[in-house]
Amino acid sequence: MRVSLCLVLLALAACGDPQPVITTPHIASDVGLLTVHQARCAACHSLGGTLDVQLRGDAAAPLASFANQVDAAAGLPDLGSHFSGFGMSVAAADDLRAWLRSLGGERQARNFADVSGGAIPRGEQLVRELACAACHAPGELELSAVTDHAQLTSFLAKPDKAGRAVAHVPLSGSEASAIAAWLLREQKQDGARGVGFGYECFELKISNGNWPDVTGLEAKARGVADKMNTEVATRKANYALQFESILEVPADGEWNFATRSDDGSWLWVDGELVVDNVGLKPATRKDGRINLNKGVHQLRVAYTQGGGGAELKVLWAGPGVEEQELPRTSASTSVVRLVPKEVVTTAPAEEAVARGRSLARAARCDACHEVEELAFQELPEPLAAKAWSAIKIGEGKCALPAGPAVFHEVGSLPSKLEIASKLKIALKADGCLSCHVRDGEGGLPPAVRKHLREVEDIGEEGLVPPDLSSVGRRLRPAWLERVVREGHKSRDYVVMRMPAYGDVKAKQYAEWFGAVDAADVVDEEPPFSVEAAELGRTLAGIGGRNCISCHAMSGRDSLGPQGMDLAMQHQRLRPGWFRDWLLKPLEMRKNTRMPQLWLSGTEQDTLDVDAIRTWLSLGESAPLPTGVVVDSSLLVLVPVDRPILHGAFLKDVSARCLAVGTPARTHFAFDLVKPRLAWIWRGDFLDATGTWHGRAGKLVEPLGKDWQVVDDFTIEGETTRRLLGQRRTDDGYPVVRVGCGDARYEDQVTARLAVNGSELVRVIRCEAGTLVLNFPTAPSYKALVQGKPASQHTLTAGQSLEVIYQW
Amino acid sequence: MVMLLALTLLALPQEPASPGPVQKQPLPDESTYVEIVDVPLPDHVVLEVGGLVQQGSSLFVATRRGEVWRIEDAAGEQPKATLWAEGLMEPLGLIERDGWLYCAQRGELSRMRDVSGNGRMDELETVADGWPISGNYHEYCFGPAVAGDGSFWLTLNKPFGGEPFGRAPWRGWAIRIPAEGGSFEPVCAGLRSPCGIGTGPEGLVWYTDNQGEWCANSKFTPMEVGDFHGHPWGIESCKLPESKVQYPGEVPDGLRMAEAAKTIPNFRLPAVWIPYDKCGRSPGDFVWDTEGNFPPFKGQVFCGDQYSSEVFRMSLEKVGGRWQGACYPFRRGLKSGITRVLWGAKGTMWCGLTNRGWGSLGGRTQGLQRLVWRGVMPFELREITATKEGFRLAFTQPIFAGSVVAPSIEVSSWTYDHHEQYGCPPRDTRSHKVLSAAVAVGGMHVDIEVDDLELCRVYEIRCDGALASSAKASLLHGVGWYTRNAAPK
Repeated sequence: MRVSLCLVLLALAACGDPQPVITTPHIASDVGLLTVHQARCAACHSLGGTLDVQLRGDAAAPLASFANQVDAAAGLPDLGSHFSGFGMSVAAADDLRAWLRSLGGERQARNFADVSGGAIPRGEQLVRELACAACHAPGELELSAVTDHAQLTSFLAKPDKAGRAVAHVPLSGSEASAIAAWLLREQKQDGARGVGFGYECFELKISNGNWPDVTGLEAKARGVADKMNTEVATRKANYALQFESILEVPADGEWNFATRSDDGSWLWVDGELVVDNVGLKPATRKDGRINLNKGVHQLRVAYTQGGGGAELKVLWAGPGVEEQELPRTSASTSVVRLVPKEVVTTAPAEEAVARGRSLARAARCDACHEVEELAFQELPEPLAAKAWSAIKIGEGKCALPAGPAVFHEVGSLPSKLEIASKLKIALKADGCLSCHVRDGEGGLPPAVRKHLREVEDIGEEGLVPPDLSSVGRRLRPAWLERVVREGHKSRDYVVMRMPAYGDVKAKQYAEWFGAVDAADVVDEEPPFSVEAAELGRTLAGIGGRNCISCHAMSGRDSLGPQGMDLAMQHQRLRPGWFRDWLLKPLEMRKNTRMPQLWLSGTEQDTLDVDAIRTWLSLGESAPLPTGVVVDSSLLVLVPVDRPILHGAFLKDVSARCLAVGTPARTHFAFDLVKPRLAWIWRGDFLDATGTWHGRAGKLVEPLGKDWQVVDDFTIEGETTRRLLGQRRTDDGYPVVRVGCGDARYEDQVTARLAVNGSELVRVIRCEAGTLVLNFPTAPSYKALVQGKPASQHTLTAGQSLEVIYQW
Repeated sequence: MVMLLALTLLALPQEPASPGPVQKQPLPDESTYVEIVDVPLPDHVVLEVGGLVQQGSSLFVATRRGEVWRIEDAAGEQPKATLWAEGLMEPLGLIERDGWLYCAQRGELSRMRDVSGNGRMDELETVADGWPISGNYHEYCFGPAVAGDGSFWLTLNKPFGGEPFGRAPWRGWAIRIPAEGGSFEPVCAGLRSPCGIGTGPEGLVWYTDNQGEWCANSKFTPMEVGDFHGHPWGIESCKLPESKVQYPGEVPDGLRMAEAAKTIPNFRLPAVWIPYDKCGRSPGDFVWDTEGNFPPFKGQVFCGDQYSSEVFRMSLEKVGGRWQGACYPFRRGLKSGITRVLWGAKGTMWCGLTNRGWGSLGGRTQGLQRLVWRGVMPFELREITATKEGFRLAFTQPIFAGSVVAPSIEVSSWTYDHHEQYGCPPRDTRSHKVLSAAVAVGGMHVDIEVDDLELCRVYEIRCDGALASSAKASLLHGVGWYTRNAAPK
């Protein structure tokens, strides 16, 4: 199916040339059903039974939504192709346009827009890399006559708001702007080039050293800067800058580019990453070289600022150019002005509108499109089209191009559709098969495929969207639903993006794929045990089966190519498939780069694979496997094999705290002033920037999630509570030693893996005197003593209390 | 002066021309005598040094990241670093005592040891705590230094900027903790940014301070119970019952130093003013060379600078019952600001580096380097001491008598204002006439008589023209700055 950006008016029912006389159309094959669906035959002809609904398809866009784009002088919209075969006269098409125009309210003014010089080429690159042409015909992308940059950008970024798109590919504001600029490239006015660097500033939390996902973020500021530095930033912390410009290189040869930045920066020339200055860190210089021909090249520089010091400097040196900051003049950029065609404001002639309305009524436009106009509805309803069963081929008037194909298949019309047929039709109708292959059908045409960009060298799997054969056996229904609903993409190494189809289709696909692919599959999760989880962790790490050589884990890069993040695989894959995939990947997918690592054929193979599954069942709380590379230039603390202890000022706690990050990715912090447990949380641990960067002394808050502020116990004689010291266990946990009056106790917290995550085990050992501990009632987490909420507990010397924290 | 000197030289008896061809030697410089050696460590070992202890072949390095690294074979070509402790709060000091490593964390004095012997600290005792922290980055806590009576001394930096947990008492104070721990006494007030703390002769604890508001110039001085060192930030705490310092009243803004010393109760002038930008900018840690590690300077003090990445030296003498002395250049060119120094093997000194938060010369942000005495005797102005009428300049080698005559020695002096402004440029700068210069028999020192001497001033003494009698070599550094608070009777 082609989804038009501009105008797709689909089925018309009742006019056109007579067809050769054949027999009554009988339909059996899915191809035929699909054609009936695509041609929207059911909009006019009753197919009988549930087929009317099942084959009717989605409602086409309301006609009023096109009104603002009608340009009679330019012959837009091109009703000729829409009504092809119906022999519509020029005058009739003009009348229809006049009526269409009258459906809109006051016409929206169109304004010119200045975009950075890099926007049009970047837009073109995006259109190619995202394979837009898989669904959109080149002619549909001619939009210069009917819209302006701002309107088109906003449509591309949020097409569902315009009420016209069934699905949309998620685009960031700047991407939408670049694509819109390319689509409107004919509006480009010469001589509007300016000098400087086009920039955008995004405001977002920068919590690690990587270039953040700015998808969907609107730039807080954009414009043209004289220098690529932090002066254009809209605030002091937590932002990202993106500079784009056309670079004029004065001579052929090797060019050295360098960035000095605090925090991260990246520099691309013609889409190639030349400088990779990644990291949350003090000002650091990184260099990169590239051979460039004299002439213009596309330059893009990205920069992130977390907190603390901020600095960006971009330098270059090359043939005849001593090292210097990239100057605005010689590295000139251009400003591109997109000047839309002016909106025709004269109202269409009343008579033409009336004629057009009658034509539309007769053509049953409202069978597919919503028409709210009262005058239209008051016109006499045209005669009902014949029921499908009553149509004799050749005697009818339908001359849609689809006609002959529809009638090519002979058979009896089923009374209802099987799910498999529904799925097949939907996949085609929703455009899924324009990009994906399923059971050997569909996929990208070679002309589109050749423009795709490879991110990781992992062959076909790294280039095109995944094969959907057996996808219902592979993915858990909830995950499938998420993918379809949000356009969620699990494969970061595929540049193309999954469109978001919304809730209704998401549920429908999850159900249908499951029914078709996995009706007979019985999936069983391996039983949880701490030992299995530990074994799984060991196997995934270096020295085990080295999964992390190719797979990221909880956002940590892999050691080699960046394969899918392991942390999501439990949520994503069905257990049966998971086991089969790990045991015999080559049987599951031809030419996959996933190696077969279990070859013994013994039961241990299955136990190993199940152990990895168990480990992954902990999700983002799963302990990181040994060998995960922690970039020491980043100040984000990542416990892998041992706990990490970090003394810091903790926000709203005190200036004397001890935070403890555990390999079980379940963390806690003690306040040491009057020693007490202050925080518990999961996932990522802490960013030490506040304590270790620059002048530091920032009040630290946890990374990660599920953060709970602990309302800790009080002790009788509370005011004398004091820190005596700490012990460290062999495995690196702290044991806090506390005195209170004459009593002394040790307070130890450790993390323990448990079903669905982990819990904290706290042991309070009374060493001397008597302790009366009063735990508060009903905190926002569970603090359990022997399975019951902790309350008042008395301990004498030698006694201990175990408290389990769950949340 | 240059012309005078030239005239003087012309008037000197001519030496016979040396026989034979003259071999061109590169001029000696600091590197001729003291080598700077890197300690190569992998990138993940970040040594923002806060404390250093050598224990046999192991060097323990406490870092501002709250870690203690143990480095084996630190002076060798392939040192090996392992993490010994972590989770401390910015320890800025480390000493060994009775088998424990003591360090000051921001909020406590702690002692640590590895009981199991597995190479990791496993026991930490809180020796004393209870001085609050407002939550400002600059509330560093330096030390400990062990005084003659066995007590521990810490210096508490004052905050700069926000105090999210509320104003804390005792900031800008030195505190004393009894050897057995358990409590602390606030003993000296008026400190600003007292990064260096250490023990000198007679068991006295000394500290360095960095110029800034209410600290006209960087300084080096001993601390005695009840002292007020000038910064009024924490003086409200004098009113608390624990205070050992008398409340000095509102500190007048802008008094000349001599006047301030007379009028502000218990106000202590420093033993040595370390002139800003002439001799570093921000002094850090210091050590006494009691063993003669750098042989010609035995008994002197070596101090690192956190900005200029140099080690300078100081000589001290007791005049009128109080310590005073001079500072001199020694070795520039380390790779980052020096916060901690420690004697290593004979003739070597560890320099612990960090410049995070202030920046420094040298191009690196942290690490460890070593100074190594090459065993060659430099020709240096060894020491300036005060005489009744002027100064005695002592040298490391006999001087050629004719090269040190009164007109070839330049003496100037200045003082400072005690004020709230950030640092103070030299005030009331004067040039002094050198009335006479008497070279001692043997040529090891010269006594100069200086006109117009006044107390509470810094005297810059230059004798660049001095030549060694043996090789006619020039002085490596021909300058020193003497703080003349008192004069010998």
